[in-house]
Amino acid sequence: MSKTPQLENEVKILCIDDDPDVTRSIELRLREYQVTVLRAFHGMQGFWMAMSEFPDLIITDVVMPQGTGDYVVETLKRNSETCHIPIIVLSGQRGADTKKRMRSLGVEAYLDKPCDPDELISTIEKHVTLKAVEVGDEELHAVAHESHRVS
Amino acid sequence: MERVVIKVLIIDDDPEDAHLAAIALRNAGPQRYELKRVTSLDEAFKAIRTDAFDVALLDLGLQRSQGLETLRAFRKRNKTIPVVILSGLEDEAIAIQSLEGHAQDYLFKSDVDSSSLSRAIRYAIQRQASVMEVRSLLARVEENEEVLLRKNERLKRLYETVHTFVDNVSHEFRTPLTVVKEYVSLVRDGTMGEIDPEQERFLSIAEDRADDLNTMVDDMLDMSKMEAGLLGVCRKDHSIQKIVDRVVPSLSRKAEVKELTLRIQIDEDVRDVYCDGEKIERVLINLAVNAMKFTKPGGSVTIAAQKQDSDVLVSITDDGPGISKDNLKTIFARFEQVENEVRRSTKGFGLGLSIAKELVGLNLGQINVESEVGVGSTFSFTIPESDPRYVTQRYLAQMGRSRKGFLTMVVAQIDPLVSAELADEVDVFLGYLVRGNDLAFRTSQNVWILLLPEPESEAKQFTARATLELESTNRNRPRGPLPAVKFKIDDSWSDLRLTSEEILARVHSHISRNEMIYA
Repeated sequence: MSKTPQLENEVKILCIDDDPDVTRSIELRLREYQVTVLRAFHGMQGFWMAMSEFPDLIITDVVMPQGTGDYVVETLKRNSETCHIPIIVLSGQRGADTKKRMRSLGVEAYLDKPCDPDELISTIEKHVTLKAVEVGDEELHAVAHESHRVS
Repeated sequence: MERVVIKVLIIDDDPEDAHLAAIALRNAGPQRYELKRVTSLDEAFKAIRTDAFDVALLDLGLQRSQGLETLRAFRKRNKTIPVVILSGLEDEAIAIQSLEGHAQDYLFKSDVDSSSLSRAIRYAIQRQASVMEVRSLLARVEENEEVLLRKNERLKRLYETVHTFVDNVSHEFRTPLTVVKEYVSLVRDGTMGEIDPEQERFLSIAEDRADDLNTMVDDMLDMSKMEAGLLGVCRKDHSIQKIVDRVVPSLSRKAEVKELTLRIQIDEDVRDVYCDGEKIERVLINLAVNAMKFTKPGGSVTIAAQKQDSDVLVSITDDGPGISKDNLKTIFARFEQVENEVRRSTKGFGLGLSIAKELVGLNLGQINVESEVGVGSTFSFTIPESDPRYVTQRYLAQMGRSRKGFLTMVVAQIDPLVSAELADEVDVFLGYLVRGNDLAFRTSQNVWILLLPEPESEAKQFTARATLELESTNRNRPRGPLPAVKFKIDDSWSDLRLTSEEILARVHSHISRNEMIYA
């Protein structure tokens, strides 16, 4: 795959959710920024992608098969290679217990589903700098995205 | 003992002594005794197996065993028959130890005569009867305790099951809802390609309805928790501006769909409030959605916040049709009722008002409605400013309604040299630790006071659990452990009506003391 130079410095965000529609919608939301979105569909996959891709930020669900959000956060935050990666939890669980648990595991933010898109973006921006896609590059960007996803 | 004949087992290997005892009992007056004599413990047990004796007279000095060992050996095999020790040894220590070893009386052989022996037998039988009764009562208490423990354990499990169940059901609803809302919103935003104004309007309506559905899931979740008494709050300092900011997106969408104007007016002198931010968001949404429901296109709904003494008054004003005096009465009545009859709410006004009322109460505030037909309505509620003294006062006033109650003040403290950043982490930790009805205030960078509505004994359990919780949190913390938190029970009160002044004074002194150190 021939990467464009633009993609080299691009912010990489890993989304982990067992509902592909959720991760897809986050990807679509971030399309107007220079961001590469990686998607994982269960905790284990999310963990491996984090270990191999070293994303700049991770957004994860809590209740998932094959490795819950707890597992993802705990293993990544305990690993010196990945503990610096900011993690945003995005969950439909409303209980204070879940929030407290996630907080004590060291996540950077906790958002409720459904989440207002502006709030999601502003929370991401607290941890990484999002650059808007320059007009004219959009097509190139979209193509680059497609090829990246296929890889 | 109303029994005509008392059956006595004499265990004595000295024929002379046994004979003396028999003579003493024969001359004991109206009470008749039936005697059987054996010379060893083995024979005694054989006799007990075939016959029921009312009392045993036991000589401690038998051929095979001596002293207290004899009594112990006897009691090991038989715990029910009353025993009177007859001993040739005049030893006070052994006498006392015999009684501890579950003999009912002790007589020196030299003191034995008709009256002393018959009295000893009578008392021994009575004493043993009460011992047996106490023992059986104790067994029943223990059994009951076990049953209670088991039931309590089951209730705890049920409670947790219900809790998780309600949470899971709402989670199941919310997942598809999130996707529906988000995809509609993506198309409406034009992210997926251009759309025309009419398409946009339709999608706005769809998204607004998805918001309604989400509110309904929240309402049902709150309602079921309210009914089960599980609705807790997590109160801390909040900016009212931020709370309002969080509800504006969905409310302005609704306003747009309904062709209303939504105005936000937050006065500049409004200070931070002490509340559960999420719950106040829910109150705002419920009251604003309610207001919009009754306002015609072209009208407006205003969310305003202003200072009112030590409270912040939040009001939702509409220029809708207003509510007639009769209906206003009904609404007030409903507000009054909800505490008892949550279930029986409401057509038209939905669950929203009942929930709003309950949530405002949990946040130490009051809710109110004013309305004039043809002019509009204002639903308003108060939330206390984040001043510990005032919050405590409101808290006590609310608890005072239930008259009896307990309150224990716990002071939590960390080393003052701990960095500000870590101290803030401890603050977050304590914030999650306190439960629904606890109050927690940070009085300086390294000191917190917690007010727990329970007696000292339960507060002790709380601090023990808090310490454990801190340990387990520290095991999991990737960025190093939190500093040690020292919990100290400061004081405990049991009648809140009588002691509220004292409690307030205590809170006051803690705060001023720490403010001084802090300054």
